[in-house]
Parts: sequence; C-alpha cells; structure tokens
Amino acid sequence: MTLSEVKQMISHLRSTPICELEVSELGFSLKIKMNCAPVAMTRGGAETWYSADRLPGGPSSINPQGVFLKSPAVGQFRASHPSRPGRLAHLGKQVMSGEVVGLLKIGPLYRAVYATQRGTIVRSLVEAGQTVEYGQTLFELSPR
Amino acid sequence: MMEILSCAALTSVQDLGRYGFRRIGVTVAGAMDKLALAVGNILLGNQLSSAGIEITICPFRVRFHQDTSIALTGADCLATLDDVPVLPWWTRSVRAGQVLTLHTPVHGARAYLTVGGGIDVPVVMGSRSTDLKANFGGYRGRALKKGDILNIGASLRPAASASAGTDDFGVEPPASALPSNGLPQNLPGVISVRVLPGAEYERFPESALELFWRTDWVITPNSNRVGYKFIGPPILPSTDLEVFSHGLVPGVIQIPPSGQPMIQMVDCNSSGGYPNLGTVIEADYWRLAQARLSGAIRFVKTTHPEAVSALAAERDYLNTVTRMANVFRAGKPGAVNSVRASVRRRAGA
Repeated sequence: MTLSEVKQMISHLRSTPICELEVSELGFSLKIKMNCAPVAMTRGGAETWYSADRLPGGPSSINPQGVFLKSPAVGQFRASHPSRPGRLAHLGKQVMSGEVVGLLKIGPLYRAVYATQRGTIVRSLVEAGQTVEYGQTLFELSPR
Repeated sequence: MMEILSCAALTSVQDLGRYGFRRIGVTVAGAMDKLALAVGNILLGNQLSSAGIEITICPFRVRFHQDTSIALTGADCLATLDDVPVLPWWTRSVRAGQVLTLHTPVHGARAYLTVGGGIDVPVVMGSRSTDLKANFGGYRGRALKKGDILNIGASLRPAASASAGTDDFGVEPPASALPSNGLPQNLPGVISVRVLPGAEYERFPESALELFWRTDWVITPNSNRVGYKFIGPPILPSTDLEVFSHGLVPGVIQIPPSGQPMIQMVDCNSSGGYPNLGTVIEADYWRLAQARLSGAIRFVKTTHPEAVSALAAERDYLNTVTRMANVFRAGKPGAVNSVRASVRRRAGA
C-alpha cells in the first residue's frame, strides 16, 4: 500500500461514519482512527451505529421487544438475488431463524443478512442499492 | 465421503474436460457449463481442475458423511440443506449428516455441486470427467445412481485459516455479471448465442442464411451432452454439398441433409462430415449448456475480434471473483487478511 493510497483512504473515511479501520496483509498492518464521539450505548450495552435517535420516528418509536438485523459488512444492499425475481423479505413477512432477508454486494460477491430469530419483519430501514456500513441496522423484526 | 440418496439419470462427475486425445478419437467430455463449474471451484478455493457433479435431472439428494464446504452454481435448483434454503451461486460449510436436496430448476438446465477439495475419483488420461459414451473416467465410468459413495479430496484451505474469513458467501452469476454485447435481450424463452461463420457458410444461398439468423430454433428432446438438434425451417445449400470428414469441436453447427441444424456439444465425436455453417463462440457455451429442452435458441452473427473480447470479459470475471473470494476466505498469502471497520457515530457526523 502506498502513502497516497493511505491518504486517499483517509479522505474517503472522512465522508463516512466509519470511526476505525484496520487492514492487515501478510507483513503489513494499518489502523486508521478517526476523531470519534463516545460510543452510543444502547439496550444490552451492544454498540450500534444506527442508534435509536437515527431511526425514523426517533427514540420513542423503538419497540423494546424489537430485534434489529444488522449489516455483516460494508456493501451495497440488495433486496433480491440476481437469479430470482422476488424480494427476499418484505414488510409483514414471517421469517425463520437463519433465513436470508437481504444481500450485501461487495464487488462481484455477496454476503447474506440473516434473520437472527423467528419473527415478522415490521420495519425496513434500507433501500435496494443503498450502500450500508458494517453494523448498520437494516430490518426490525418482531419476535414471536 | 458423500452418499447419493436419490438421483435421476444424467448426473455425473465432471471436470473441465479431457484434452489432447481427440486425435485417437477420445471425446473431450467435461462439464457442459464449464464457467459454472469453474466458479464453484473458485468459491471453494479449489484447483480449477477439481471435479464436481453435474446435475441435470432433479430431485437430487446427497448426504455428507464428513464436515466439508460446498458451492452450488449453474441452474437455480431451489436447494435446501436439511430444511434450510441455500441460495444459488453460493458457498457454505456443511456438517457430517446433513442432507442437501436440489429441486427442479425454474430457469436453466444444469446445476453444479462442488465440494472443498473436489470429488476424489481417479484421473484417467489427464481428467476426472466421466466419458459416458465410452464408459470410463469419473465414478466407475458411468452416471451416478442412488447408493453411490463418493470420496472428497483434501481441501487446499488450511483449517486454521478457515475461521479467519468467511465461508458463507455468494457470487454475481455470469448471466448478470457478463456483458451481452450484440445479444438481443428480452426474448422470452429464447437464449441467444453468438456464432462465427464456418467453412461452408458461403455455400448456402443468402435466403437460407437470412432464415438461419432470424429463426428461433426449438431444441428437440433428442438433445443431450453429445449434441443439440433443432426444429425449424429447413436450411439448404445452393447445391448438394459433399464434405470430407473433418475434426469437430464443441460448438460447431452442422447442417445435415434434412436442413435442420445441430450443434456439437462436449461429448461430440472427434470428427464428422456434415457441412459446417458456423461455430458458437466459446464465451457463449455456458448459455447453450443452460438451454432447456423445448426452449429456443437464436443465433447471432459475430466476428473474431468480438469473440475474443467476449472471452476476455469471461476471464476478467473469473479473475475478479478469484481475487475477491481469496480476500473473503483470507487464506492465501498476499491476500488482504482482514479488514475490520468499527462504525460509530463520529463527532459532528
């Protein structure tokens, strides 16, 4: 990695909410820390990026029973598989634990967004084609 | 090991083919959709020459007797692992005892199941492919059937590094990833393939050639890995054509005396004597391989530079997928081992 690539990466990071980036290759490791606010803590102490006040409707719209499905990686959100016409998940859909509810496109590859438990999709917080960050909340699930 | 629990005819062990023996009449064989097989092996970190299973008629069920990883490419067969759906063009790990089921595909004709380390069958004349006509190679020289137990080769991926990356990811299929320059789109039920005019092209009158290019040729049920036969208006030469027998390669379009074209596929003979109207370009073989019986094919005239550039696009796609899959699995030296980003709200953001 060259110095100009590192500079480019930093300037790119400035335009994102990413606070810390670590890249390691064989015999090489780079850690970039941006000037970050204290971590927003939420229910259960888990760190989130899309914290309560970023949700449409504000903090009061949070369902204490709600389960949030988060992005496993940085990528472009896709609501359907390229080989299949229908959406993987839609509002009101009842999903099983382990079911794929969306995809993240990273170059030519895809990662799956899984339902972490059985329930109904009650809110979608992402549009098809939108670039999402690691840990970003994509769906709210009402467990049953 | 993996055990075939249910399997219809025409499912066989195939790799990229058996080359170098056509002069003694040995057919190339190998996967019909080599691109799908190659992508499966790339997703798993296998050698490109690893063998997989070509599945033509579903349902197909297999039980794994060991922990391993699998990739599913080619036609979308609505696969399930135990009862959990597995997306098409996807790789993931499986546990000993799990059962994979492939159902009848909605689109496409052939699915490929590849496993980490490949299907371990003996290499015969440089290939693990099953020669279904001469009955050698692959698994006992025949198509697979219920009860067959296949060995799985040793995976190239060190077990320790498997945990560093992810083994659960998918890939953009060629149908949406590759440019389809010059191919008409949105012809329902019709697959278009590009064709280079062949040795006897000029011996057909303009009217016959025009008919050849604009007809949607229906694939007859009498089509298989040896060749596809078509029904449509007869394409006849200006005068009776007598051609000496000549070498054949997969993709050659021949016009027999009936005027109904046929295309030679991977199990074709090494020579033949019908007039050669053209050849489907190598970059479009996978489109042909995924054509279904009773579906239709449209032939689109192309040029040598276009054929070369289509093949280059296919190689670029495979190279990009290889590079990115290595990053995902993070097992290969030189690849980025890990990228971790923690995302929090930044001051002022």
